[in-house]
Amino acid sequence: MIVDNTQTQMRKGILEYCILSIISRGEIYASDIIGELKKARLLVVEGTLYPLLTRLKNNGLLSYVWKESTSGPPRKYYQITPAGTEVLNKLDTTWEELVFAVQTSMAGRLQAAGGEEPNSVAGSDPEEKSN
Amino acid sequence: MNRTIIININGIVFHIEEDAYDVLRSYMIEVKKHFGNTADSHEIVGDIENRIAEMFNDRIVQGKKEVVTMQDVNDVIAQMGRVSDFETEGQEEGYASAEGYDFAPHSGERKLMRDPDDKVFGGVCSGLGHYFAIEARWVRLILVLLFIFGGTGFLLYIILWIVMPLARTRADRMAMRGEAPNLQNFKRSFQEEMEGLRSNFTGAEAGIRRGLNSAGNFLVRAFVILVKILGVLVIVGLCGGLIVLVVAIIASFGFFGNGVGMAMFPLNVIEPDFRTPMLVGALVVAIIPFIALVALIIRILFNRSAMGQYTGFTLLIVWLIAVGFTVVYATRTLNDFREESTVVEERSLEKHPAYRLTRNDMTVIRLQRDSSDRISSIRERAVIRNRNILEGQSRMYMRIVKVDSLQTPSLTYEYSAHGATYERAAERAGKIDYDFQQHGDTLVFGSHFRIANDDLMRDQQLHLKLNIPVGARLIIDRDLQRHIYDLPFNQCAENYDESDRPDKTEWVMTASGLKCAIAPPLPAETPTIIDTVRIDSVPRAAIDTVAAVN
Repeated sequence: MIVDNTQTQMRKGILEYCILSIISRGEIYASDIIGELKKARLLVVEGTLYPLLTRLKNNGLLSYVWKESTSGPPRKYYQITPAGTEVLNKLDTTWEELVFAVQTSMAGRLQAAGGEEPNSVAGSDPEEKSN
Repeated sequence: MNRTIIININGIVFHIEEDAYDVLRSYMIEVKKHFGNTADSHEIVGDIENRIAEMFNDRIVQGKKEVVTMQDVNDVIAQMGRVSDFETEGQEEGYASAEGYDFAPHSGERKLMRDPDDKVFGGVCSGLGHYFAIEARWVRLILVLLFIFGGTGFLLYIILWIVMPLARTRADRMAMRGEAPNLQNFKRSFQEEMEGLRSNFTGAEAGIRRGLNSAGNFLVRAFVILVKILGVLVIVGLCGGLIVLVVAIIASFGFFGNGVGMAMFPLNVIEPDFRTPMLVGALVVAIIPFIALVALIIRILFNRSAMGQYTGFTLLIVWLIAVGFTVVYATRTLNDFREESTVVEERSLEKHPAYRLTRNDMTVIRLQRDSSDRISSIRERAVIRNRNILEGQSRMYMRIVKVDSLQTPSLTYEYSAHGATYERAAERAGKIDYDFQQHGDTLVFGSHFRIANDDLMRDQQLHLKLNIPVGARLIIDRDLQRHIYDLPFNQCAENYDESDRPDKTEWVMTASGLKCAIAPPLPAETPTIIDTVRIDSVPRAAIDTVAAVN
């Protein structure tokens, strides 16, 4: 299905971007990342996260350290690398460009439909994807 | 009440209910399969296990709920997501599911190349198999059949070998199978190799088998079974032939006579010291291709190599050595045929107006001698066979030649033989033993000559020349006639009935050669002579008679 494919592609790029954003805030545990993503209504199942984290790590954007946990096994805490930060900055720029592109191309249609504020489009974007 | 199992996830011990364990286990197997066998998969699966352990840990309350239940497992799996969820999320293009792996090569254009991963000789057949999307073994079978019936298969194979390039790189091999050379296929191809299975081979076979099952194509399966049965029969036949061959060659040690004096053709051609090695060599040269053929058929039909690489290699080496040995000694033996020499001897005969030429059948005498002691009937039969071989080898031939009427009749012996040198050949020719006797006007010719027992068969021949003066008469035995080259039998057509040839024929030597003479008293001839006499006297007698009547 072409719609499914488009959705998947959009969500995939955004998911990576969001993960990088979350990790860039500071050292974080995988299940906390999941919590954040769930709060953002972006992730459906946890199993999807681990391959992504591994790939980002293999690309040198992330690194992790093992930390003892009071309850349960030792945990992997992820943090962003300088290369990751660099990529994140680039992605920020790209995101702004994308938001502009989407807003510009949507503007006429949404105004005609109900005159909603263009700003709300950016905010509702992640929500749309997660549905 | 439920049985519990103790499991260990990443160093933490859990008590888990048995049915819950089964569900968890099959889930983990699915996950492992999904992520395949890449370097990353270990880490990913480890992360997932870790997370599961943690979630279990959260659900366990010490002293209150210490066992992981089915409910817990289901919740955890729901949170982690099913493998199918990973796929629809489509996060990682690289981790194509092993289950989703499509065995059938897709519609991409294929390249005709030799497959180094699945080869018997050069991988030509498997390459053709990939190209036409059929199993390599059927291509092999067709080629072998072409080779056996007509021999074109061999030439075809060599040409294809030369023409088809070898699929060296992974990209080549993927092009050969018609797979798009994208990252995903690369990864898959790599993973297959890592799994250490000869992927295309087994894979294609599994694919075919699946195709057979799903299509339920009974005819094809029946055909496969039929071909296999035929193959087994061929193998059995070949093995039978092999056994017969071995027995025959071993028996020939005894039959042809391995002893120096008893050797017969073909062993008597070979020097005594080399007889046994030559026989063994011939045995090996003949048997190894049989074995190789059987192994090849097994390989083609049952997809299982019948012998290890080293065994095959050793057999090849042994075969080459045996061939080399045989060729060397065959050339040595041939070399001993290089020079020919003829020794001529002349013996004069007593002069008689007529000679009776008879034959002394050497082989029959042997037979009689053997049968007279009658040790066993087998021995008699052996001697008869012996005679057949002997006759072809050492038969005497003669010509009857005209000499001047005043000259004495004589017999010229021409012994000839071959050898490595002229001297050696002459020596051999001199050793030929021939028996001829004259008793009054009877000449007794031996039917065969003898070669000294310790001598080798080197194309020894004996040609006799019987020099008969003009005017002499010859009465020749029928037995002997077969030894004479130039007896002008057609002259006798009127004298003798072809279908009922007399035991003896009579000839006379004239100035223009041998002529057919009137045979010894024959009932058919006698009246004619009387008739001529009567014709002379007819007129007068007739007149007398007529007068008397009148």
